[in-house]
Amino acid sequence: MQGYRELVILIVEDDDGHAELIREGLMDAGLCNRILRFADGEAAWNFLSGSGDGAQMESTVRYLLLLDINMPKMDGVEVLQRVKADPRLKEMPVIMLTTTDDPREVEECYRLGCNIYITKPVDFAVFAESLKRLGLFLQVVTV
Amino acid sequence: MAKSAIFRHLLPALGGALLLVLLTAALLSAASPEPPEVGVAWQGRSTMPERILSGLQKALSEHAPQIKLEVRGELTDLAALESTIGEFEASKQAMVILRSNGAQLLGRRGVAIPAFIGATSNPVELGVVASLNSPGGNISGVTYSLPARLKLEAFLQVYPAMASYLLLLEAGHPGSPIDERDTVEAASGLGFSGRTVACATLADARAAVSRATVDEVIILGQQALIMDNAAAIVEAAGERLVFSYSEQGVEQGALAGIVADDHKLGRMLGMMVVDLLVNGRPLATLSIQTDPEPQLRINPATVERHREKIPFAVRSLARAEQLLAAILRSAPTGIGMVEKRVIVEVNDYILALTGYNREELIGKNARMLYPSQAESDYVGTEKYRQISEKGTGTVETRWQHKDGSIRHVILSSTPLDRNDLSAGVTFTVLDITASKQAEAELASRTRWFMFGLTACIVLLLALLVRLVVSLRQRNRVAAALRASEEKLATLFASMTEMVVLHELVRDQAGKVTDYRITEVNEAFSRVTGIAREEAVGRLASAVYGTAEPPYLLEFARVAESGEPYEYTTYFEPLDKYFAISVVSPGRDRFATVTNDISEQMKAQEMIAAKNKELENYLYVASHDLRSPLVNIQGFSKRLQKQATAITTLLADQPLPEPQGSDLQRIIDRELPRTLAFIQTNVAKMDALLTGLLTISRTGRTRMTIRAVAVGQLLKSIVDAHAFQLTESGATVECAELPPCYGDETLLNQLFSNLLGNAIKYRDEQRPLAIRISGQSRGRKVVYSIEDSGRGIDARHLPRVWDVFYRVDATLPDSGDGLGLNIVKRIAEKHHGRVWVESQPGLGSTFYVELLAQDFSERLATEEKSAELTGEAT
Repeated sequence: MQGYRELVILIVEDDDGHAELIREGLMDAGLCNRILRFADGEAAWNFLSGSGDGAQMESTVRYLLLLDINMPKMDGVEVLQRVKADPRLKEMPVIMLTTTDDPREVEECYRLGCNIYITKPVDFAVFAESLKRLGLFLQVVTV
Repeated sequence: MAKSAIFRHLLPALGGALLLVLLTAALLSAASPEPPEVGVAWQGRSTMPERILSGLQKALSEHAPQIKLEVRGELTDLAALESTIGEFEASKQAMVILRSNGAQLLGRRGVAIPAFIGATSNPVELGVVASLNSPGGNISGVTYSLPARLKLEAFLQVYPAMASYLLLLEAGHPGSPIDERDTVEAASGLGFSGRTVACATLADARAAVSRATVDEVIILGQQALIMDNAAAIVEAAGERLVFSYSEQGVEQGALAGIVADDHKLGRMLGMMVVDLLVNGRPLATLSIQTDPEPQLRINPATVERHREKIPFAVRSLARAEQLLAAILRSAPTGIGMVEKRVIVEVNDYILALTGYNREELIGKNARMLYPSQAESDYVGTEKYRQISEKGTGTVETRWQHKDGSIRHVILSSTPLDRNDLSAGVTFTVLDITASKQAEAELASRTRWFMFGLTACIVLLLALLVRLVVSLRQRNRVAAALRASEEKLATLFASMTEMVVLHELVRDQAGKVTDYRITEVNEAFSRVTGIAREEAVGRLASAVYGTAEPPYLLEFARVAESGEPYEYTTYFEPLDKYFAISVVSPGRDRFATVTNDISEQMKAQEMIAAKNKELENYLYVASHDLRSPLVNIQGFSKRLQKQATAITTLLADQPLPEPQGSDLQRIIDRELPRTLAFIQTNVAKMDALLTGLLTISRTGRTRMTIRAVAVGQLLKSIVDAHAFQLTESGATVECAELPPCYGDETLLNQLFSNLLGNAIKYRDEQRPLAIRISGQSRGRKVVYSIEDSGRGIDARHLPRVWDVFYRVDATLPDSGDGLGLNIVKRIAEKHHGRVWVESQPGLGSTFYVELLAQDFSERLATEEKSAELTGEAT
C-alpha cells in the first residue's frame, strides 16, 4: 500500500442548494474530506485542465469528481468525456449525481466511463441514504 | 274468431255501407283531439321489417308527427302476434303487420280495424287479398314482389339476345303458380317463349338446368328451395345464363336480378297511413303498392365470366360498380349517404369511427352522431347553406363515439341532385382527432384540400352508380347505361388523381411477367408527361423504361387476390409524395389511383416536428422542475433538524413565559405540521413530474418495427402477472391471437398496462375473469381485453385516456393516472387506436387496433425513396 494521500472531493453543481445538501449529506455520513465546489462544468474543467487562472490541481492530492449533468456553459457529460479522454485524468473516479434518470443518459455516461451513476431522489430520506452510502464508499476508496 | 268470420261474410254484402262507416270513422278519428294511434307488429327475426319501419317512421315524422306508433317487433310466435292484433283492434285506429306470415294471419282471421301489411311477398299469392289494385276489406299495404314484366325487361337489358327462358320454381309452393302465370304473360307480351319446371328437390333443379338447351336462359324463382340453393343451381347451369327473381340469387352467382327498396316501401306505407288517418281516404281505395323504381342488382364476377354475351354498357356498369365498391371498402376516409338527415349508407371507416354497427346506424337520424342538439343543428344549417351556395358543404365539427368519447371530424357533403336534397346527400368524414389535439390549425388547409379531392371522386362515382341502377322503364335503362359511360368518361377525365387501369401479362408458363396499361386519364399525362398514346396498350416496363415493371409483385397480388393495397411512396424526379391505392375490378386486372400527398406530408412533418418539440419541452420542463424540488425537500428536512436543535437548546435554557410556551407550541406542533404539508406536496409534485417524464419518454422512444407474435407476447405478460392473478383468484382465457406489426417492447408495456388495470380494478364481490381475443380486419387487427371488473361509469369514459385522469382519485388503489394515457400514446405511435366499452358493475372491454402490415414510424417521410423510376402511376 502506498502512503496516505489526501482525497479531495470536487463537487460540480450549478444549484447552490443541491451543492450544500450534498456537502451536508456527505458530512453527515462521517466524511471529513476537503470539498471543493464548482458552479459549472467550465469552471471545473479549468481547474482540472489547469487552463483557467483560478485554483490548480495539486499533484500530491487525489481527486474524486461528483458531476451534475445539466449545467450552464459546459455540461457534466462534456466534462466526463474530457476527463476520460485526458490520459492524465482518466483514472480519476467520476460519479454522476444528477436529477436525470433517463435510461439513455445513464447508458451514455457509463459508456463514457463514469464509475457510478446516482439519481438525486426528491425524497430526501432516499437522497440522504444514497449520499451516506456514497460517503461510505468514498471512505473505503480513501483508505 | 267468431267476430272475424262475421266480418268476412258481411263484407261483400255490406261493402258500400261499411265504406261509409269507415269513412266516418276515419274522419272522426282525424277530427278528434286524441292523436291517432297505430300499432306495428311482426313475428320472428328479420332485418326487413326494421328497414320498412324506419321508412314508415320517417314518412310519419314528416307528414303526420301527431300519429303515435306502438311497435311490438320480433314476437316469438304467431299466437303472440294473434293476441297483439286483438289488442290493437281494441285500442288503435289502424295497424301495420309486417312479414308474410303476419299478412297470411290477417287474411285468415280478418281484422276489425284498417290494417296494412308490409315486408311480404305477393299478398295475392299469399291469399290475403284478391287483387293488388282493389284489395277490398280492411287490408292494404305494400309488397316487395314486383311484376314479372319489369323483371324480364331488366333481364333483356343485360342480355338482349334472350329468346327463351326456363323458369325454376318450387313444387307445391303457393307462390309458384302465380310466378308462373305472371312470367308467361309477361314473356308473351315481350315476344319470347319459355317453360316452367317445378322442382321438389335441389336434385330436380340441377337436373332441369343441366338438361336445358344452351339458348335457354335460366330464371330462378323466389321460393325458398330455389333462393337458398341458388349457388348450386348456378354451378349446374354451367355456361347457361342465370337470372334471379331474388337478391339472394344474385349474391350467389346469378347474373342479375331486380329488387325492391325496403326503406322506400316503408315510406310508401307511411304515406298510406297518412292518407287513411289524416286525409280521410277510405282504405278500400288504397291499392297495394310495390316499388315503382326497383334496383337492378348485377353480379360483376358473373358478368365478367359471360363477357362476350353481355353488352359493353352493362359490363362497364358492373365494373364501375365493382370499382366503386372496392374504393368504398378501402378508402381511408368515411363515406356515407343521408336522406333528409336519415343515414342510409355508411362504409366500414364510419363504423370504426363511431363504434356502432351498421344496423345501429342505418335508418337513424344523423343527430345520434353528435354530442349535442346544438352541434347537430349547426352542421345542418351551415352545411345546407353552403350547399345551396356552392353545391357542396364542408364543416368541421365533433362526433360522439358510442363509448361517449369525442371525435373531431371534418364533414363534407354534396347532394346527388342539387335541386332535390331528398334524393340523398353523400358525405365524407375525416377523423382529425389526433391532429386536432396536437396541432389544430397547422394542417387544416391541406386536409381540406385532400378532403375535397376524396369527396369529389366518391360523389361522382356514387352519382354514377345511383343513376344507372335506378330503373324506371326499358329505354330509360338504355339511356342510363349510355349516360353512365359518358359520366364515367367525364369523371375519369376530370379527376385530379391519376387513374390507370392495367391488366397482368403472363408468360407461357402462366407466370406474371409484366402488366399492360389499358387506360389512363388526363391527370396521368399531366403529371408524368407521358402521352396517352404512348401508354395505353403498352407494357409497363416499356412505358417506364425499366427492366422490371414497377411494383410487379404487389400489383400481381392485388390483381390475383382482389385484396386492395395501399402505400405511400416518394417519387424523386418530381420531389413529390404519392398515396397509391390499388384495387382490382376483376381477376388479372387492377387499377391504381394515385394522389399527390406532398402537401399533406409536409404538414405531417411539421406536426411531427412540433410534437417532438413539445415532448422536448415537456422533458426539459419536468426535468428542470425537479431540481428546485430536491431543494425544497432537502431544506425542509434541514429545517426539521434545526427545530430539533432549538428544542435541545431551549431545554438547557428555557425562555421566560409566556414566550417560552409559545415557542414550544410552534416547535412541537406547528412546525411539524407545516413541514408535513410541504413534504406531502413535494411528493405529489414529484409524482406528477415523474409521470410527465415517463410520457415524454414514451413519445421519444424510437421504435423497432417488426412482426410481433401477440399470442406469445400476451402469454409472457400473463405469466409475469401470475402471482397477482393467482392471489386475486382470477382466470385468464386467451384466444388464438393474430400477429401484428410494431415495437415489441412498447406493445409489451401497452398490454401489461391493460392487464394490470384489469387486475387492479377487479370487483371484490365476484371472481375476476379476463378474456383476451383478437380479430383480423383487413389491414388492421383488433385485440380486446374483457374483464368482469368494476366497470367504468359512462361519464368517465371519454376522459379515462387523459393524462393524470383517475376515475376515483380518493381510492387507496387509484393509480398514477398514466397507464391508459401511455396505452393510448403507444397505440397512436403505431398508427393504431384504442377505445373502451364498459358497464358499471359488469366489467369493461378495452380494444386496441393495430396494423397487420409493416409501416414506418414517421410515415413515408423516412421511407427510402423509390428505387424505380416512373412508378408515379
